[in-house]
Amino acid sequence: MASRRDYEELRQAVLDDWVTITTREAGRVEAMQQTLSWRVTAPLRLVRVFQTTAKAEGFSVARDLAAASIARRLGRD
Amino acid sequence: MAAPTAEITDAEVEAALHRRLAAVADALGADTADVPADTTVALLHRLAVAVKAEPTPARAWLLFTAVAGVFPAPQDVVDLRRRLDLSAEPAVVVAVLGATIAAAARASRPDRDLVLVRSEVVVDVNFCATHEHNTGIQRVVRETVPRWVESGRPVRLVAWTAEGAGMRELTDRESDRVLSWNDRRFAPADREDESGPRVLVVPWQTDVVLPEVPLRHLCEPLAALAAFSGNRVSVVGYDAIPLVSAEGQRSEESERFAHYLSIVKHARRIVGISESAAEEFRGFVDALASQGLSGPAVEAVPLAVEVPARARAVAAAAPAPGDRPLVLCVGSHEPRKNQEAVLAAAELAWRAGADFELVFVGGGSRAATADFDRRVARLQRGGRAVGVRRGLPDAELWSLYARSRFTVFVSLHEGFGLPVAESLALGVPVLTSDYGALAEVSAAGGCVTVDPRDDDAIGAALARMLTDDALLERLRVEAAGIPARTWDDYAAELWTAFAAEDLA
Repeated sequence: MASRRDYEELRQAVLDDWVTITTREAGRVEAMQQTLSWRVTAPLRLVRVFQTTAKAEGFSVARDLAAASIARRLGRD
Repeated sequence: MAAPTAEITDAEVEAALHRRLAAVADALGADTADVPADTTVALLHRLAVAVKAEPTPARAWLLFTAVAGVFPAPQDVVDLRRRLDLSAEPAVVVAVLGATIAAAARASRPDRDLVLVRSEVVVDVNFCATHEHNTGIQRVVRETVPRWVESGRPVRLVAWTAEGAGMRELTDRESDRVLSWNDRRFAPADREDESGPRVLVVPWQTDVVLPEVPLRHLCEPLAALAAFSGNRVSVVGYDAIPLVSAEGQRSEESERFAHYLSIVKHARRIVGISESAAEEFRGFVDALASQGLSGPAVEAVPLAVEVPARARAVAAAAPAPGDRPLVLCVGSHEPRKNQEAVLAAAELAWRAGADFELVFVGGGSRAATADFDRRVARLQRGGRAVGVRRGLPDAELWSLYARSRFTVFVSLHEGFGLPVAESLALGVPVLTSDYGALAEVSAAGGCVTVDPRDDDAIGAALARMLTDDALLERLRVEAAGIPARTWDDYAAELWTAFAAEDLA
């Protein structure tokens, strides 16, 4: 079961990536897009999959799964 | 594309993000009282939760702008709202960051701050601020906007960041270019680096006026602003020539105008520069029903026609007309201006025995003028009194007006018909077209009108105006009696039109 702290760490990790990409890729769209697919898009796609699941099957189970899975993808578990 | 700004650090970007979020927190009604000052992610979470709770397009537009530091395109707003809708509350931060990352990475300066403008009218003068060009639309902007500023109207002038990230403040040089065109404080210069003012100017629940036709890459964010931001957008409608008379236009112009209409369709009000221009936009608005849109209210405020005092002085000092009457044809050289028909009609008149000199004045691209100039040269070799003057200084043009018996302007499509209005303002009769904006401007008198697609009719009218002194005298009297319409009049009436409902 993901804790509140897990969520906060996950959010911070995604924000850190967002800031890093925004800083490094300022004005360089193509390079950003390449990097984006590795750094952000994949985990965010995963989030959307689980969010959709949450809608369909009830929030609590999917929420826990999403947080744990994303944390693993980000190497932070 | 802007160069990457390697000197900016992650910490500076996150700090700027934090400041942008703080700047819009109140507008979004987010409770941030207990959010620690150094926790950007917690602040973002509060704002995202607030927008998710009340997910209006305007609130999503503002949240996107604050997070990305970039004005969204229409699809960006739609996407953010969907992501928020589909997100569980703990995941809203991830949803917002995912929706904004691509746009945020487009910004050349991710460390921009943001200021909300809520009580002033935001006036977008991007082109005039950043370019030295000064014909048609630029003249209107540079005569009108300074009068709003001088008369104390609550306006905030903005341009756009170089990469189109959003509206920004003007530099001093740019303000000079817009507000002091006739009395510059700075030497003219090419577009300068705008890295100085990095603050995004974000209109919120206020009025936005577009007195220019925006550049192509700005149409998407402006369309989103008009459609979603909740701001009331008003535009000056010059004409629909790039679409309605696309033949003879550069295809890029037609494409740009089509995208411009994506802004217009979501505007609140459009003020045409003539009744004819307004009618064109009414036609467009009628078509919007097929998209389920009601479109903007449309009205007309005719442009000013005010020739400078020095123009009258130059005209008064001009040499007396010679024995051979002079006929002047003023206007930029492009197919719809119909100079070819004037040349053909003149040849008909010359062959019928008329004796007059014909002078064309106006610039144009090499492609547009090369054939025409060759034809004129051939006629000159054949003894015809015809000439072309390109790049003519204003003083010489005014002098030519003074020496002219009348002017000819038989354009096929105009938004206003400034060459006709200026000729009349100088007391010189005009032969012009019998429909649209030219019929409108000629209705006050001083003109003979013809079908501009009928060379014979143009030739017959030319011959009559060359020989019928009583007619010319009557036209001169009519022209002299047309009431002056000043830029002060136009600026005041335009403001009133925009203010019809709720401008400050």
